[in-house]
Amino acid sequence: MSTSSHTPAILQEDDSRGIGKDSVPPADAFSVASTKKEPPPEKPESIRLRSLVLLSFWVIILFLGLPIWWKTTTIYRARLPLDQMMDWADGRACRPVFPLRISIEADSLQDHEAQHLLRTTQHALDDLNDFSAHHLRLQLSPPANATTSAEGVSKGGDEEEVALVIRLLPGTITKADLQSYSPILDVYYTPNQIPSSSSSSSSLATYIANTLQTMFAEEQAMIAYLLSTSSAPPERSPKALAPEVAESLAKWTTRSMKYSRTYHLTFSLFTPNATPSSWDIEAALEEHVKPLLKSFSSISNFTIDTQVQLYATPGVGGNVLKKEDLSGFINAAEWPLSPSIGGAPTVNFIVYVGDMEVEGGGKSWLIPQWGGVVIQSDISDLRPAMLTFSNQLMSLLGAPETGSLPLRLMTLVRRYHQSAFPKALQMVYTPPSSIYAKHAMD
Amino acid sequence: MVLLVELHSFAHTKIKMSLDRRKVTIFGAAAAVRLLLFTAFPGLPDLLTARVEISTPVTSFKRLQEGLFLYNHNVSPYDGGVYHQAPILLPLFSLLPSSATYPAFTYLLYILVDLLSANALMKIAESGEAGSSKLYTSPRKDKKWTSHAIAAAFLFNPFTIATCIGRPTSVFTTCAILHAISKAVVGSSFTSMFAISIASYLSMYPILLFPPLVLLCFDRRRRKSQNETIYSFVIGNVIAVAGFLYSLLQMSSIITGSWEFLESTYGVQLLLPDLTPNVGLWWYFFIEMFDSFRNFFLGVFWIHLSSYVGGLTIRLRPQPLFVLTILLGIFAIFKPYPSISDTSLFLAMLLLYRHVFPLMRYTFLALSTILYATLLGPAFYYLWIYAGSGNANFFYAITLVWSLGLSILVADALFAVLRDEWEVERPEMRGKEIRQI
Repeated sequence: MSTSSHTPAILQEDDSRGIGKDSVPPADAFSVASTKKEPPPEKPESIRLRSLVLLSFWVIILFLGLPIWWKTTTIYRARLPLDQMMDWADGRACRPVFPLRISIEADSLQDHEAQHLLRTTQHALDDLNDFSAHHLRLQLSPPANATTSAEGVSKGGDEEEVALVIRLLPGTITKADLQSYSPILDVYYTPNQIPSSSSSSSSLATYIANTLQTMFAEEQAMIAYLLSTSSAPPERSPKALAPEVAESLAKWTTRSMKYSRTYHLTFSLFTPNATPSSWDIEAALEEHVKPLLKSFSSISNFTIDTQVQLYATPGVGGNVLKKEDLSGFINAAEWPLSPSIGGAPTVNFIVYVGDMEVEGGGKSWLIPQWGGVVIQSDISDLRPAMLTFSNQLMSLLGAPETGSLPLRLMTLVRRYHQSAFPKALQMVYTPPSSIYAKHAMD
Repeated sequence: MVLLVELHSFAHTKIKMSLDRRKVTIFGAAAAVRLLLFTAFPGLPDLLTARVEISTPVTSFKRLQEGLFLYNHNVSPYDGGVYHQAPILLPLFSLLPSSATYPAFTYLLYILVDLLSANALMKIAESGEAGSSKLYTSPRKDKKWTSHAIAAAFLFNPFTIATCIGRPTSVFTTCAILHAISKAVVGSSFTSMFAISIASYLSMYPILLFPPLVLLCFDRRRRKSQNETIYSFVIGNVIAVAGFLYSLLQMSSIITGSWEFLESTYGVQLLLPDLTPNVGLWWYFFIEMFDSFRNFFLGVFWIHLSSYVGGLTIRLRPQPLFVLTILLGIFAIFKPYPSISDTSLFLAMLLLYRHVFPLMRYTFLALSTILYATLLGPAFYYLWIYAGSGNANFFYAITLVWSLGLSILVADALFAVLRDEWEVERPEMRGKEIRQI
């Protein structure tokens, strides 16, 4: 449409003779110059007209084009709640506290004696504990007939479960006995240890405090380790861990798998020849593994499959496996061990039929973040293998090494809630209380 | 001035005796040809309705049927996302018997609309506005075709006939635009503004014709309002158009029960969500466009389309009718959903400028390019959609050729009119070769 800018005044005759465009006339100028014509000067009217036409285009460009260009090419940037984010990053937004409730059952003591014992033990505990985030809180367990007053104890309406029950029992010597299948610590005391109401400390209180401190030391160290990786302000960060503790905790973190809502367990039987072609895995799982998994149900779900692979050769041969060979034992190229394809990570448990031995006498080992291997020549009894696997599963999920089974499980449950918490620090849009409540409900 | 008044009265006498025999013959023949095509080939209307060259997403008769069905079943016609046409068409077509059972009524309506358009075109031709307007009289003005010839050329143009058989709703827009111009050349600005409001209401883009149209009205205004200044005249007409549009839109919102039709009709024209192929240049471009640039280029395309209005109106102030003609040609090329219906309107208007045809330089090239694209377009579309041996580029290439041909025609016509003007100024240059420096 360039022709629209034609103006009649600048149209010139296309005269074939009028080729002399130079300002200097050629030699035969006398014959050419007479025919060469300059275009007549433009009339002011047509100049005005042209300016108006140009103006009309520029008006559209400036008043429509520019705003449209500006508006349609600006990249949308959401406004971030930076202050709130900086608070979380600096650890100012909320203060992580992991209180543990420990209930004392002292039916044999007078009420005021029990109260006094509670106070002194709490004092002793507070003196021992120098890490404020992990806090053991003692309470007297309510008498069995006073359920209504028990509701008053739980402040804020959140039903914190009791981590441990201490049963004070009169005995001949002072000793503590952790029950294997329930989170109950039986403490036997001699009658002379009952603190008088005047004394500010007693040996029984100190004893209980020390026992509790030792019992929860590992959990405390775990939390301290987890929190040290998050960005809490220095005044609230836990005490520096001892190097050897830190090292074992680092090992523990590398060994345990990343938390997931669902884990997939694969139990595989590998045999170097054609026999055995079947194993009684279903009954063994039902008997030895399912109860354990059921107790994990509050943190994760589990799916299970099993397989048998004949003529499977391991990655390394020989009757005695060296420690450095163990990583090559799994023949990843040939053994059908599926990696975690779906959302759920896979934990592999392998029974290898054979009579090799690990250097030093073991027949099973754990592969960090992957699973466990048991070498067994006779698979008619799967119980030992299953027990090993259960232990390995606990380790892989990150349970502490010491303590009774219920305590280890409860620690694990609490640990997931806690380890979820530093991650939640990044979720700036959710108010802290609801994050904690959500994970506490999981 | 005496000449103008004479012309005026001349036009009036012609209009009064408009029922002359030649006109009846032409109109009757045009109606007969259409009726014959409708009845002799019962499959033809549906075939042409499905052609992308005739039916665009904003004019398709098939989509109108969908909207009509929803409307008659008390569902919002815009709910399906198929119907993008003005709401007022719905009660209009509801009055007719269903086109599926009694198609004859629909056929008759479309034939009537074509004849009305031709009638308006005749009035424009008879006014002589093309050859001599108030501010400019062409030295070649006597060389012109009769109004009957122009009407016949419009009515028997294959594009017009195909459009009529394909029944897109763009014929109503065409009719309204032609009536707006025909009323403007006799100076009835109020009726003209009403007609252009209807056209804008139906298709939105005709609102861009307002500046040259209001100048045309101003030049041809009646004697009693001769002393009115141009500013008050323009403001009065702006208010009139705004009032008409407001009442039309208000009526539409009453018909459909909500204002959502705005988004489905004008929103679709502005934002181009439907990328069904057509003869225009937009669809392929916006198929290829990255989403982040889409809005920007929508703005660019619309600004490009509307930027011609101001420049042409100012430059060709003495000949507002030619500005309208050229703008119709530009819209037929660059509007978002063009069809051959727009081309037929442009060609009909261009015929009024018979006297500048000798000054055009590329008529043969332009016309053969258009012919070439007309023949190859359907073939390439067939190769792409049905045979599968071509792809979208085939059809897009031919629409480019089509647009190129039309652009040459538009630019050449503009050149010819400017040359015509220039020769009045420089009579000694008549008939000589010129070039731009």
